Amino acid sequence: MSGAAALSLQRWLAPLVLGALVLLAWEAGVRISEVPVFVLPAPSMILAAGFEAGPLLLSSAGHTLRLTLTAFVAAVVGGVLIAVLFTGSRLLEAALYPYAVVLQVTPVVAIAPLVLIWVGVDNASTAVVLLAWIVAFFPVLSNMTLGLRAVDPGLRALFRLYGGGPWQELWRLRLPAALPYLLSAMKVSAGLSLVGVVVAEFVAGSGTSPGLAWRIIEAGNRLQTPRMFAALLLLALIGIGLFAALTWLERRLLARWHDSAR
Amino acid sequence: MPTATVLALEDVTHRYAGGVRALDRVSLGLQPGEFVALVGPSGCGKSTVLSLLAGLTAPASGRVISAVRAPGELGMVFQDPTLMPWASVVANIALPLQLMHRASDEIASRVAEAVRQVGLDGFEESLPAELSGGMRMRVAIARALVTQPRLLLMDEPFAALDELTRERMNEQLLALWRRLGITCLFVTHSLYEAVFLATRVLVMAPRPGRVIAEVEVPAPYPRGDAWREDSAFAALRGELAARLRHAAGPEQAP
Repeated sequence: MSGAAALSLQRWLAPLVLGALVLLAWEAGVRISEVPVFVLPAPSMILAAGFEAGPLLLSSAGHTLRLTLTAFVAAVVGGVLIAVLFTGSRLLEAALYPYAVVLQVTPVVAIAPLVLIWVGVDNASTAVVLLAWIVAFFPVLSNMTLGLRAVDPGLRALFRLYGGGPWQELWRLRLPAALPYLLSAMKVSAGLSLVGVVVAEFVAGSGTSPGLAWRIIEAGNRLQTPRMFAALLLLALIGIGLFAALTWLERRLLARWHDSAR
Repeated sequence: MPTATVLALEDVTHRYAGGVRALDRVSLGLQPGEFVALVGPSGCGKSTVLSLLAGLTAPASGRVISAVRAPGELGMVFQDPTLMPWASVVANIALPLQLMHRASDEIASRVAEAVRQVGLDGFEESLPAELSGGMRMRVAIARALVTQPRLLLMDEPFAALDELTRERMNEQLLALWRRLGITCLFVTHSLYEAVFLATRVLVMAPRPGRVIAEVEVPAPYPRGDAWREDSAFAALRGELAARLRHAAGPEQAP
């Protein structure tokens, strides 16, 4: 086996073996010490609870994933559009950017009740997407603004030399140059979308929002701790899946030309 | 100035943003078909001269007289290849024509011709990161030639290359210049390169930037290793070096 192959195997195997060992120790520890199930259930019980509530949890996971993706796509589109506007007008950036920061630094939990009142408790899903968007769009906006400005001055001179207009400069120069910045922001933004959705669902907390967050609250109220863990596991899987998909996309788009992906 | 002048600076003074004089009453002109080298120590305003000639900078006073104002009549090669890293060789070379809104079949045939001129056949779809430094510079030269310019401005294009590659690029550049009949202005801080390439060498001195000497290089083309080893080559180089030393004065070693 070559050294590189061994190293790559090690990268996969090491965390898997560690995970398996921790799960075994957890299972054994819980069985030996007889901790009550509602405090810490054994992995086998979590799995059983997961299967038992399978259809319910999966449909909730689908709901959460849908809201997360909606908020994420809106964050990317909104962030990119506002960043392009900022590039076109320094004045607009100077006027708007502080408010984007204000929106970003205000804890989403604190805005959630207001948004719920405005959008209406009946439209919990809309409120949840809006709140997740507020959390997720800022990294896209700030990274994209930076990326659109990080253009080789020599290339800009070249565009001027051949009479390239602002739209050509945006389309042929600034947007491609900003792509690595956008992709790295998207990885952050996807994670934040999920966090935003879960936090917003917690605050919206009612039967009208049937996402995973609500399943966790519901199971918690009933002391069904294994089910809480099962829902948590699904949330983690969604997060990992989003991150893996975006990392794959980044590799695919940048591998041949950008240092970060080589 | 003779009426045939392609491009000229007349009594141009230019200042940097801080108010420091970058150029002081500089006058120079390019005749059709010439290969002029502009030499001088770092910071003497060589790049500013190019920027003014290309119309990328406006002079503080004096005039830029140009017979080439339509986009594409003037090609430019920078010190770095300045390529779009995400675009293939052909996409990079096609850029000037695309910015000039040319038809796509015209772009395709012109790009193919430029690729052939600089010997990049077989690398059309490569990205800049996959090419050597010398090949990247060829892409930059092809991009400058693709509009079939009358005038080519080059700002230390081979400074970052190793000596062997640089000498080869020098010879290929001369061959292109003779074949295409264009006018060239070549900025360099290498006297060796200047004497090898040019029909005429302009010497600049710093603080403030000004042209202090003009030396004709009478050697016939094609030039090759024989010219590099000629005693006249060494003599011209020595003369230029002496003028540069004299201009720099005792307080500063460039």
